[in-house]
Amino acid sequence: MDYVLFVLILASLYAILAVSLNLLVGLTGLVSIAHAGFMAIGAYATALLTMKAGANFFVAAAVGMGIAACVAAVLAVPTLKVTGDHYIIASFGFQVIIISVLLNWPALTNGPFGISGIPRPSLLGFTFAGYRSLLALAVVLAGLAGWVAWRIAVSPFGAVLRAIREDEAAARSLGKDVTRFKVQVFVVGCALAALGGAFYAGVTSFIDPPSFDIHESIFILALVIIGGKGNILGSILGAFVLILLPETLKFLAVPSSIADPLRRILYGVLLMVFMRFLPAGLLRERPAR
Amino acid sequence: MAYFEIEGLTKDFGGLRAVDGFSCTVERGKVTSLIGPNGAGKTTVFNLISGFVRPTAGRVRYRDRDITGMEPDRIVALGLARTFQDLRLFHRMTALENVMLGLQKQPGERLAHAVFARAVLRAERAGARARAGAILEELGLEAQAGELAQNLAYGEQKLLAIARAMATEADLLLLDEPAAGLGREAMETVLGVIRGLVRRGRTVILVDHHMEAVMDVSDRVVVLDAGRKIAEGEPDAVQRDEEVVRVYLGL
Repeated sequence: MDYVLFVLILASLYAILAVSLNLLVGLTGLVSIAHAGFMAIGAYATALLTMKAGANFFVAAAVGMGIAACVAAVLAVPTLKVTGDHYIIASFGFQVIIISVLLNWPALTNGPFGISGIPRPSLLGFTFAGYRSLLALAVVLAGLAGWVAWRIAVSPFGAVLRAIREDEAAARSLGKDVTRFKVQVFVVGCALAALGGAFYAGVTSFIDPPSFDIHESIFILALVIIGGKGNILGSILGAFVLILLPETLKFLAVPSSIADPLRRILYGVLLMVFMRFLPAGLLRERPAR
Repeated sequence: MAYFEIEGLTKDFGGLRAVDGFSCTVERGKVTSLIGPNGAGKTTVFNLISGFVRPTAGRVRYRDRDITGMEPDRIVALGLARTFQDLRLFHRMTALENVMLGLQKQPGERLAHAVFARAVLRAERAGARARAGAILEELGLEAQAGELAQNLAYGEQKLLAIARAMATEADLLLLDEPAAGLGREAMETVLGVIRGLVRRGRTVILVDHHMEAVMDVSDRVVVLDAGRKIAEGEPDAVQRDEEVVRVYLGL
């Protein structure tokens, strides 16, 4: 039972990450492979603030989101000027920097050994210790992230984001301050990624740099693409499908040494199949308004 | 002070001087056309005026304001909007959405409003739909409102590009080849739209290759060749200008 709950928690966590990345990739057309990097900011901020400063989990998570938002805003200035394929490479650069900092600043991050013993989230004397309560929290946080993303997607703000994705020059010719829109959505998306990271730290009690490496970023991107670019519900569905599906492997009598690589192969095959037969994803983007 | 004035506008692309010391003034409530052979620099002039390209030298003044080198969105906010030769419609959006995106200062374009102010947004959306719908109706596109832009006929797409610029409520509209490539009937519709704009006090600057259309609709014609102004005046006079005839016939 605990196992099933844990998998559902994991799926909710990835729903937060996928939904927030969808704001950038799906709505705005900013294909970022730095999402795990922003997740790491939230996770490390939460771990350090709760353990070293004795902060409450939720306060620490909020600070982590704030830091991620600031980093995103600073990063936005040079990187959002580049577009299309070049942006992917620029975001890759940030991903590399984050991992490098995590690995090489042992005084703060404990380097490659990571941080263990992160306390579980607690609120007003109640500790989210059991998997049931953690799942409830996960669902609330995923719902919150999904709600924010959905509100953005259906608003005139979201319409401008789609316009930027379709044709940036045309959006500018209609008086849209394209830079402002890009920076704002980037900041929101990255702050939500940090929320996911904070929750990840609270659930697993242990974080280390590989938890946030490029594979993680690409996995989140895969969730968005398979779920359906530009469709917020699709990202949630994509997260649940891609987390739950490989878990069925566990019920086949395969040893874990085979199951793990098998899972990766399955992801790879799924991506290729989707690109060939269903490039719009599980739920295609709905026409707006 | 002139309503709209260009002074010594110059643009170098590498070693190539695309626009060379171009000056002209535009009168309010009139149609001024910019003509010239391919590569004369007409579209570059549009890009320089609308803020998409920064000039190497020269000034652009609109309603007593120096708008040289301003960002396009600020220029639109001041009341100067443009269309593109290649239209640049949002192809995967409906005609109505395309026009709605032209509306200015929508509260729902503010992030905080988008997320939290649901009631405000609903009222705003109704108003925006109505305004955009009215513009489509004016251009005879009301039946296409729910159609994706990519599915419209070419003539309809050209009108939609104008509709989008109109939605910005700009006082001065820069139309880049609105009639080029159209059949007679569609061209007449476009010319009718331009006349309608001017009748309501808007000002139009036009670039087009369709000589008949240009001469028909323009109050004033400016001729560019190799980035320089070679003639300027009323359509009839310009048509008789020897230099213009020489450039056009390649003599």
